[in-house]
Amino acid sequence: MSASSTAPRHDPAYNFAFLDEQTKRMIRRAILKAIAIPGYQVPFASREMPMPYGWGTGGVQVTAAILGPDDRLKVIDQGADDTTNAVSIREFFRRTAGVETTERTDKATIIQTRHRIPEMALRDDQVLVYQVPIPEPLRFLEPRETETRTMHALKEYGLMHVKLYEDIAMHGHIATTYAYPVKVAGRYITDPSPTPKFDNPKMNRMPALQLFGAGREKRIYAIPPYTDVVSLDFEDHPFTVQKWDQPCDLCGAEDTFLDEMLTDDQGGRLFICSDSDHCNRRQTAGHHGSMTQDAAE
Amino acid sequence: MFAALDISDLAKQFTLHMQDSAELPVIAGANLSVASGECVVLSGPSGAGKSSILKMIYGTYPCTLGSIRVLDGDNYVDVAMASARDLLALRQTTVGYVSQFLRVIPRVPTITLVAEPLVRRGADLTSAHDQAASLLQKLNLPERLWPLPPATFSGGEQQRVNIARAFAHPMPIMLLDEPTASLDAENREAVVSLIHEAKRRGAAILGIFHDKDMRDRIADRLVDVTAFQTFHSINAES
Amino acid sequence: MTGPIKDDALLRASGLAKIYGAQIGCFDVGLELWPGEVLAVVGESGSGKTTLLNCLAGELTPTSGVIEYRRGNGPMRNILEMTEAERRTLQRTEWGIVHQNPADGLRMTVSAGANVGERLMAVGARNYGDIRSTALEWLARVEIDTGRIDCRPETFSGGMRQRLQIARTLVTRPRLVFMDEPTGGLDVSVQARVLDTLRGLVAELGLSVILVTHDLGVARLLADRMVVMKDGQIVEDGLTDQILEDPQHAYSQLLVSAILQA
Repeated sequence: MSASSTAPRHDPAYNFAFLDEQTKRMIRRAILKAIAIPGYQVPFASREMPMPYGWGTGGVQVTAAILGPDDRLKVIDQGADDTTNAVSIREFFRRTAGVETTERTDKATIIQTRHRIPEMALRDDQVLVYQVPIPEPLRFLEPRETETRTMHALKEYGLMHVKLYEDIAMHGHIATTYAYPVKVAGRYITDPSPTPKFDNPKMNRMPALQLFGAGREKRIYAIPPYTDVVSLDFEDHPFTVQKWDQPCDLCGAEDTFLDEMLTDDQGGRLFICSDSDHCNRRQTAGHHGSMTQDAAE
Repeated sequence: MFAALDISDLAKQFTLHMQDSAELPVIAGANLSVASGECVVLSGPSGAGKSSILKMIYGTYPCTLGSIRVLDGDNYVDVAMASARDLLALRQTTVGYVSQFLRVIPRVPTITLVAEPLVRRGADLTSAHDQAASLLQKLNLPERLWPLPPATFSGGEQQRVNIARAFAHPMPIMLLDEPTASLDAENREAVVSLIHEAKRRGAAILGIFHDKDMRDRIADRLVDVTAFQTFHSINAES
Repeated sequence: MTGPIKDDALLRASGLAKIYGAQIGCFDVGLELWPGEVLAVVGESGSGKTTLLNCLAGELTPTSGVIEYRRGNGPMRNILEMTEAERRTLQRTEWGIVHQNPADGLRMTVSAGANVGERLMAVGARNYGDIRSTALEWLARVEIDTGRIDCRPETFSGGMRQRLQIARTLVTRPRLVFMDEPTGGLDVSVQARVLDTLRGLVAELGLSVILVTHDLGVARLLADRMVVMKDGQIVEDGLTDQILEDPQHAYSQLLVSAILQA
């Protein structure tokens, strides 16, 4: 993991960042339109990528279109830099663009993510690129694309609350824990991608530009820096985030999103930060959890 | 006394399209008027067109010829020329009709049925129910029947519900098509007093009563409809 | 009420036509509806009555003609010249539709409570407790066991589904409701009870209704006025009792005689 920043090596067989220049222009135009209309899903001519749908083809195309030779790229999957998907995509851009990569949130200029927003607050010189499987938040209840587009156009969003109503009726509380719908800049209802609702508050007035790419569904949308992002709820069932009744077993953090890890077949388990970079740096700075307490002493 | 209802040169002829457009004349050249506070009874054998006249005044049968002028507030409305919309308004405020058959919504309690015409015209529920109760009392309908729908009532009981509904709201013009046919003497007496009450408040009443005693008690005048059967007048004009 | 005022109409159609290629859906149709009035459109299947209803309800764009509606207390406006946003706002606030097949008007995969609540949420209701108690109240009004509030309509009988659709449509107190054979798909015994419910609600809420039906019995029970359609055109209009007791047009006579003999 210490070799996270290594000298780039651009494979000359590929155009810079894999996509041809015309395609990148097309995607950049879609991105500009998406930024101009926060939360609106802009159709784009998604290309076949050398990886299967569901592995981040949308996010990769967005990253490819905004990547420059001086950028430093971080890729995370479920918050971790060391999972297969994250490693593969990082390697993909090291080879096709020769850009520097990093695991450190604060050092990255572009962060491509699946399922998490880093715990560390992002800055306005950073861009967060989300991989999105299903960009349409209304799809759950309305299968017709013609109808959902009209509903967005006319701000007919009663249906979105039907889903939340169903949650409360069935579970006593809003049980939606990820892909929790938000209203962007007071206008478009938007799917934050399958990030946990724990991360929704981070989207609100985030200094970094947030871009969303859905390759299979051929849609790009954006949340510009410092945009209001509100999670939907009811007056008597307000939006809340998940809480854990214990701190991270590795770094002792009490305010992060924790993953449950089974450690053996006897029911042993750990709760640890899903953001591996954040957890590592807390430990390096001397913070301890129950697992690392003994080692430290 | 001025006429609340004035009929002139009225004719009715059915055209039966399913029988090669056969023409079936019922009445022709009918002239009659009823003053406010007056009760006129139509006489004549069955099939002479008595009910047809009432149905034309109520708007159920379109008129073939002639006019039916009805006093609505300060103006006369010609039913023969009126639109469906105008007729509905007349039925709401001016012309009431009682047949011998009770045609009501199933499953609705009697007391609610009788109060309904009042509620529909904006009365509050309690006063409408009180008024309905007092009418049913006058008509000797046992109180235990009031909460029940009238579907299972006897013919006489149903007729009294029907009469109570018709008299619940005071209409300036009332058309009565044998509403007492199945009533016994005591209950007919109750209807007679309702009719006298209606006359006293100025209602113009046009009715059909086969019972001679009933007719004698309420009618100011009899009009024999067999006089309205000079059918050549229609043929001459058409 | 001081008598009819001509300009009080709520809805007025004139010269309305819907042509499908060589096929005529409806042609040269004119009609008016006043507040609180129930108008039945009767005729055999294929007579164009459903096409007419869909045009009036803004579901289908007519080939030619004018459909005017009085929104709130405002002036009459041609709905065909409204923006789609305005028309859809009308459809979810002042208007409602009851379809013949309840599945067309319900969301079959969400609970009965959510089905009733959707229109409330669509007009801005954001208090779960209030939405739920209103849904319970309406289920009771249409005689659905309130214990079924969290069940999906997939598990309901045809009659219950239709009751649920009625509750879902009326919960926001629309002024004008379009009904397309509201009891058409139901057993006769179930039909009568659904009609009772409908009739009671129409009277209680003072609804204006345009009701399409091939069943003159349904028209008799619900409608003040009727229009008879044949081959896409209105051949007769009048009071319900007038058309049932003394139909004038040859086709109306045929229609009425067929029903009365049945």
